[in-house]
Amino acid sequence: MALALLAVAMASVIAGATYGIWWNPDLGFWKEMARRKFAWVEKLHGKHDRAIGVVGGSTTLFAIDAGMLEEKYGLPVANLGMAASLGPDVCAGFGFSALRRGDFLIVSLEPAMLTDQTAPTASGTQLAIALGRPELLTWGNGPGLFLRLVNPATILPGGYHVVTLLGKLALGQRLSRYKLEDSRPGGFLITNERQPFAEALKSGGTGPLQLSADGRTLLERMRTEADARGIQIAYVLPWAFCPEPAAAARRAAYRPLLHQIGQIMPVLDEPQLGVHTVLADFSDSAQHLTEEAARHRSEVFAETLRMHLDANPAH
Amino acid sequence: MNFSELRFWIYLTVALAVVALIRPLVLHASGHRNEAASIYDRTAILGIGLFLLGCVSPTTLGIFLFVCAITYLGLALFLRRAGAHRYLFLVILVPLQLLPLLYYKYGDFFANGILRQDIPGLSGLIIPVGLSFYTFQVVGFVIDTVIHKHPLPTFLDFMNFAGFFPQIVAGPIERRESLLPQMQAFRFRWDAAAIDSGAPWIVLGLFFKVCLADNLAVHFDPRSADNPFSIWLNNLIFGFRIYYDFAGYSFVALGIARCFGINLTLNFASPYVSTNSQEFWRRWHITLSTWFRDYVYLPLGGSRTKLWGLTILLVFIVSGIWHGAGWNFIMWGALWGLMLLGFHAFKRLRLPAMAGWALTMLGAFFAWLCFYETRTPVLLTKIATLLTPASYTAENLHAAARMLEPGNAFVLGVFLLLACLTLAVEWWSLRRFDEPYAIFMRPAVLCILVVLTVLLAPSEKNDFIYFAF
Repeated sequence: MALALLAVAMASVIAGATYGIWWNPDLGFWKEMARRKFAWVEKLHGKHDRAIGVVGGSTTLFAIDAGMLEEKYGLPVANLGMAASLGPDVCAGFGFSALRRGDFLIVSLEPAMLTDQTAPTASGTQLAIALGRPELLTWGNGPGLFLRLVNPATILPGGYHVVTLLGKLALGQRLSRYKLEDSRPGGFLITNERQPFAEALKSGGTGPLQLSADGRTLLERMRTEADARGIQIAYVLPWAFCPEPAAAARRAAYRPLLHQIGQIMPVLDEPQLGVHTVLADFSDSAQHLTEEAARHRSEVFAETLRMHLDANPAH
Repeated sequence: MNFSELRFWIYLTVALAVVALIRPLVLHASGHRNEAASIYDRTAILGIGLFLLGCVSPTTLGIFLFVCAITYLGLALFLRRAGAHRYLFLVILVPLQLLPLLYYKYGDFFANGILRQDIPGLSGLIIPVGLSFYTFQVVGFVIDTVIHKHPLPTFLDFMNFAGFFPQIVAGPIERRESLLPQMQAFRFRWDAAAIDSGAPWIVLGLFFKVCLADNLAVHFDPRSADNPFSIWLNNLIFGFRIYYDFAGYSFVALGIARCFGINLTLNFASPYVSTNSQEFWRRWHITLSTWFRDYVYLPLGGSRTKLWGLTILLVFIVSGIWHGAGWNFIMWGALWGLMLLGFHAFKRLRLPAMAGWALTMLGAFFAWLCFYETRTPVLLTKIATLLTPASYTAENLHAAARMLEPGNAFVLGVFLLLACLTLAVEWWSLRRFDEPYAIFMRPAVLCILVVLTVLLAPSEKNDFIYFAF
């Protein structure tokens, strides 16, 4: 009996891991997005003497129109933003995996990734394995791949994914939330999805934000790794929705956080301080800008970047 | 010592491998004497327990050793000298045993909370894992030994009684007469029948913990204080979570112990099928309930005293305090005490089973609010919200629904359904076989549980709730 149960458990782990890494439609989407981003950086390296990669979660992914920045302003920017669910270390790892000596890495991780306790996520590990890029996990002497793989939870799809997948199959819905057809040159993604989210934001208040121990460790690790690789590094706050009455408080909450980040790496100053109060400029979440709003955000970013580059020319 | 972490199983396997490798050498050196094998096995199982406890933290191990040393030395000293003053001895030794528990669990609440002394060293203390459980176990041991004039076991056997690793951190709280003889006779044996009888409990426990409790825990969001529907939903999530979490832990402990040939007490017997509050406490955390019955309730006179109602209330308040230092736990205990008194007052009414079950569950899930909401002013606001009929409006219902993202709501709904289905199986099992978990022990059902546990395990790690007690 015990041996039979063990055999069933092992077979389930193998089946779950096979699905999680190779057949998971959601991961398939992110795998292809990652490939396009890496290819874009290669193209930039061929055309320009340096590339500027912006890493972060989906707040970056839906905000920086890198193709437009290159075409209109000649800025060699790559949008390396992915999904926050991959974990901050894997999101940051995209910068170190794609960029090379002399490039510029702009960190635009969401504040929550830096102020909360964070842990490596299963989907981050699965994506790194699926892409064949273990450095997404192990950059800067990060936890070894073996330590992650030895825990079956990091290679299995997880209850949330399985249940939502079954729900989508039952309802005949698309298996991946976003479509590859909506990706734009440079790694930028748009969506026509619209979902109400303002209600969910009403209950949460914001006090002064501070770096968590995990957030500080991550940023220090990034700074050390960037210095070792000869990559310039800076931080910029991503934009997220905040109702007008709470905007001043939100900006005040971000200031101590930016001060702490500024002690680790340069911070690109933007007057908005990551706060955007126009609800119509967001699509399916308080972090995802619409295509038009993303163009505006990209132009603001181009201006900020230009000022920083003028003040801090490449070595 | 988190059974749902792979690390625990790796440490255990390594420790067992070391024990198995050294065993033939020791037996050979001792000329294969039976007594030497017995001493080696009992020393080795203790070593495994101490090693696993040390892996949690050196402080955890140190405090456990301190409590054991105080208990054994005190007992040895007084059994020699106390003679007729046995009861006086208890009055001295039991508080000494409780000292670390009082310091870590209640020091901040009493010194800073009630006496307002502002002692910074007492605030934010982390309670060493298992302290409440093994302290109660060794207190019970001392009382049993003194009252029933049992002989003092060897130090090795006492340590094995106090530190048997599957149950040390979260029970069951075992009694001298059930666990000590088993530990005295303990031998390492490859017993396929024992393993086959333990494995199903491990599978059921992991299913409860990993698949049900951990997936429900993700959706627990107790921020709302003015929406009764949100509060009830969180009470429901917490109530399911704490049962599947704690019962899950207890079942894994039971299963591991059985694999080693040791029978532990079943700590849960499907409490959510209870049709009255008295039955609930006969099915929930059984070893703690019997501990309070035997060492607090009966010595205070039990049902023979005129102050029986007050005794019940006192026992439940003390039980609340055992769970944590805070007014919320006192309220939780008092609420259960009142519910029990209410049951006794009205039991002649003989409600239909379904109505009794509904009333008991309403009370149980209402009371969980006092368990998880540790901020007293917020707790009082939430209670007021739940008790205000005018707050049950359609607008609040819609607002509560909007608090959940559609995807999250669907996933939560599925896991609540799975939790209810599991309860239904328990109910059917109890009805059909008079054993709440009999159906889960069938091979085909166990295979389904294994597959569900592996595929539905959440990515986020969650400790066992009762580690905090």
